[in-house]
Amino acid sequence: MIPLCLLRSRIAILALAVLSLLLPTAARADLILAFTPDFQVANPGNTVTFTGTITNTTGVTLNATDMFLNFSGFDPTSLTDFTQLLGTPDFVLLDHHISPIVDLFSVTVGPSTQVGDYSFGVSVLDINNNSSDMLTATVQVGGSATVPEPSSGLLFATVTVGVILFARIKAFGKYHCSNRAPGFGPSL
Amino acid sequence: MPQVVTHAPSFSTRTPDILNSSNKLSLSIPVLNIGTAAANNMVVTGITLGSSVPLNPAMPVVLGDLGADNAAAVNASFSAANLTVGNKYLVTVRGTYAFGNATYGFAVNRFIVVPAPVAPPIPFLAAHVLVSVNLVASTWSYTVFNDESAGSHRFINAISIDMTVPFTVTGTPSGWAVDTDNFSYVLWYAVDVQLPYPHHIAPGASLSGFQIMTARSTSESKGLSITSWNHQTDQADLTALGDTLVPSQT
Repeated sequence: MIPLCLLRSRIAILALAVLSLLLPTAARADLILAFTPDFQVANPGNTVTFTGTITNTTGVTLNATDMFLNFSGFDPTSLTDFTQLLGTPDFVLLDHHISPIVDLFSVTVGPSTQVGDYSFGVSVLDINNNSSDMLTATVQVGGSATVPEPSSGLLFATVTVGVILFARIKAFGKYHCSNRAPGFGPSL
Repeated sequence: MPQVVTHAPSFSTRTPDILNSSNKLSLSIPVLNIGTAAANNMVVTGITLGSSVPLNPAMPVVLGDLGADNAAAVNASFSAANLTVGNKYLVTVRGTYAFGNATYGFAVNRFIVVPAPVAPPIPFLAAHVLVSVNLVASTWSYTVFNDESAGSHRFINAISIDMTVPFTVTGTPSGWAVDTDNFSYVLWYAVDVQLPYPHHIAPGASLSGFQIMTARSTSESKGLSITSWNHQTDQADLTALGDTLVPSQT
């Protein structure tokens, strides 16, 4: 007979597999970069900070200073001085854990930048050369915040429900099965 | 949810080779194109190491075209004066590249740990070059400095600078001659053939008057070498390697 806690673990694994199929390929990388949000509103001359989380599924514990942000595809006259903030301060990100929301990087809008949306690509690489997928973020110059597009909202809701589901399953399993070592941020 | 960018150049780096020697931290930083398309006319416009003072190269540095899954190395050095051995510092390489009909920016980052200082693996001549660019006259003028200590016997007897565009030599100091193909290099050398070599540049001294002219209106960093002659042994001695601004291809 299969113990109840083992059965619940299998359900959790199955749910994880289903969720991973629903998510885009970005969610299957060794590092998963997520913005909160993926746009910032600014005026010419402003410096804005992007925040977000990093999910570590590399198999090893990482420090924040073991992770490096790379940028490409931006208008170099409109967006300048991309500065990595991740790692200052340093923190530990255990394997299969999600970081808290942290400052990732800042970027400055050129003083003569015209009103409009300026997008760029961002990825995160770790010291072992594990990489996230390249994501797009946007600085809306002279604009106002817009509601995320429906597909983004739907996907965000899916992820949220998934995380809650895992938390509940894990909490239940933790109660009935052996405890796991505590980590920084929620574990997967 | 942000969209995933595809079918374009994108960049990354790896752990640089690092040398801490003679109060200078030297880095060789790989820049990788990990995207799915070639990045054309890559130009490095800035390299920073925390708040450390950069020593070289002069900016910008042209890397040229970088195909997908290819890498190029950027060499840079910083003053080690305010760096603490064992501490981590963020290296950032910024630049531009062409893709399609547009020019885009890139920036790659890497935390490095400052290693303990070591003796120079190879002794170099202490010398450097300063450049003055006059875009109205389209001239690049160079001054060569012998930074050897006062008691040194190493006198500068030649300087060679890499070039990338057609040019003409418009200035050569008295007692010096020039050799050039007017495109890829220029070599100035002292014409003295025996002691006391009166036109060699003595330790602590400098010499200006090295000048080229071209129709270009922008600069890029290229390599140079400065050679010395030992007035005590009457033989060739140490060489200095560096970089300076020259007329740019773009």
